[in-house]
Amino acid sequence: MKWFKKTKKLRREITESLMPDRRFAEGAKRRFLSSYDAHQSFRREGVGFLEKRREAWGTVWKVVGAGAAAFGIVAATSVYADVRNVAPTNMLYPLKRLAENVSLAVAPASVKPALELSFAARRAQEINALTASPDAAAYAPLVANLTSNMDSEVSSSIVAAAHVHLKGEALSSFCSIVSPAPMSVSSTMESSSDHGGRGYGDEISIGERLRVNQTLSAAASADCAAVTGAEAASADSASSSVPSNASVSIPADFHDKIQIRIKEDHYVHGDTSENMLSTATSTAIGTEAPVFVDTYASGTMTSSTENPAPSLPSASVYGNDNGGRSGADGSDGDGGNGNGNANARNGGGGTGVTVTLPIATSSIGL
Amino acid sequence: MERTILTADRLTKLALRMKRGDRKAAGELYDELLPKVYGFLFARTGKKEVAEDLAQDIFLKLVEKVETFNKGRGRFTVWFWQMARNVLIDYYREKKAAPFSSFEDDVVEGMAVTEMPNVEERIRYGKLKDFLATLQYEERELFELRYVVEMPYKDIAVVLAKSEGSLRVAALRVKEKVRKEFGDAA
Repeated sequence: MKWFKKTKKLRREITESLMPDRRFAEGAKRRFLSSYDAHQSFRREGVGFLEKRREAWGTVWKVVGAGAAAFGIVAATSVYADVRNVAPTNMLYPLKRLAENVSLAVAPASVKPALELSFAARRAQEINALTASPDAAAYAPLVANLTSNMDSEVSSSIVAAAHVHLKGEALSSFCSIVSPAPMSVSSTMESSSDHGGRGYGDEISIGERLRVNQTLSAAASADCAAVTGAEAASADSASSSVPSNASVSIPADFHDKIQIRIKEDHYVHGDTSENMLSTATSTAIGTEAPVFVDTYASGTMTSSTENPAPSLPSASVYGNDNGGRSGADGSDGDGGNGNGNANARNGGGGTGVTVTLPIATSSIGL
Repeated sequence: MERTILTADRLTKLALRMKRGDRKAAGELYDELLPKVYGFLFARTGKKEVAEDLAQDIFLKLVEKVETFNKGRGRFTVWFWQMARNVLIDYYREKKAAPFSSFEDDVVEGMAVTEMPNVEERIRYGKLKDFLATLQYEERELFELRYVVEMPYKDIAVVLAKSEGSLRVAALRVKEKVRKEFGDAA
């Protein structure tokens, strides 16, 4: 206990001997508190500023994140709608159109003409589906809208083709697809037993669509005329014919349209491959004349007919199977027509058109 | 011991209030700590001006660093004295002075004359000075933190980065020396 008291006294002694000067203590306290006040006010401002900025950035990132998520959802859904080729009555149809517009926007200039044309082909398909449905009357406004879209796309493709690499002969060929010589739908073709139960004329392709609607055909012809400088084809011309010795080269990207047609025909009509290809091509290019199709792959052409293979890229004019055939140099045929209307429209002789498709049959699903 | 712990807890609370912007708590904390800080520095350096300068540096550093104090990592006293000790170590590094203050007599005497007009205080300080000179470095640190700062062994162990057991053993030696030194005079 004595030691404890001594220790306590010692501590007090030590503490008292080491006490700071009172004047120093007071002055140091003033300086300490001043420093503290300054630090606190700076901290409040800085933190406030930092907090505001952090909050602002937080909000920005939230908005960006939400936007990115929404964009991702829309993009994925658009791709899905585009790949599935949803119908105009589907709620995802606007996203499909959005996907088309995006693909058109990012496509290189050289691809745009064909891309526009493929979209126009889609519109034709959609129109076909709507007009063939039981509620066709109810879809009339929609069909009209789609028709307008298709015309617009065709026109755009023509303009695009003019500005890209399609010039001269190639451009003419391209225009011949979209604005062929207008002809009435062949009754023979409609009743042709080769086409099975469903009337061939019930379904249309771009060429036929343009052909059926004279106004559209005239507009498309005018577009092509404006671009190519050629005279617009007369809508009433019944004597217009597929010119002989015409060079009709089908662009490689044309096979999309043919493919649609081929698949439909194959499914519906059960055509043989040769007939189907012939029919599809004739429809695609908008001619009633029978078409003999030679296909080749990688520049090697094999002819499916007895006719000598024409040299690329030109095509020769031949008569049809039932009639005589012209020679390889493209003179008019003089034989039977096999297709009376063709004879009449083409002004003599069974003339058909041989087109060379720069694709292999295997590539179009045959 | 219990009183020391209560004091340490109270200081921790004051520090937390100071951290939140409580000016009054900052003042109270200063009042509690200054005597101990000054005494610690004076005992270590033996120079009043140095002790005053270093004490101000320590409290300015407290203003800057109090926001980094985390209650979850321990008591405030431990955190504070580690910071104070680091300031002292930095001072020695810069001045290249020995950890032990040589207690230059003329300086001490000068201080005794000007700052310790009280004879009794001078005598007490003289005795303390002589006593401190007899201690080894670790013993002196322990003595200052235990008797000047009045820290519990647990906290001293953290500040000095030593085990509490070894500190208690060293404290026994110091106590023996204190008894020998001041026991007869008490």
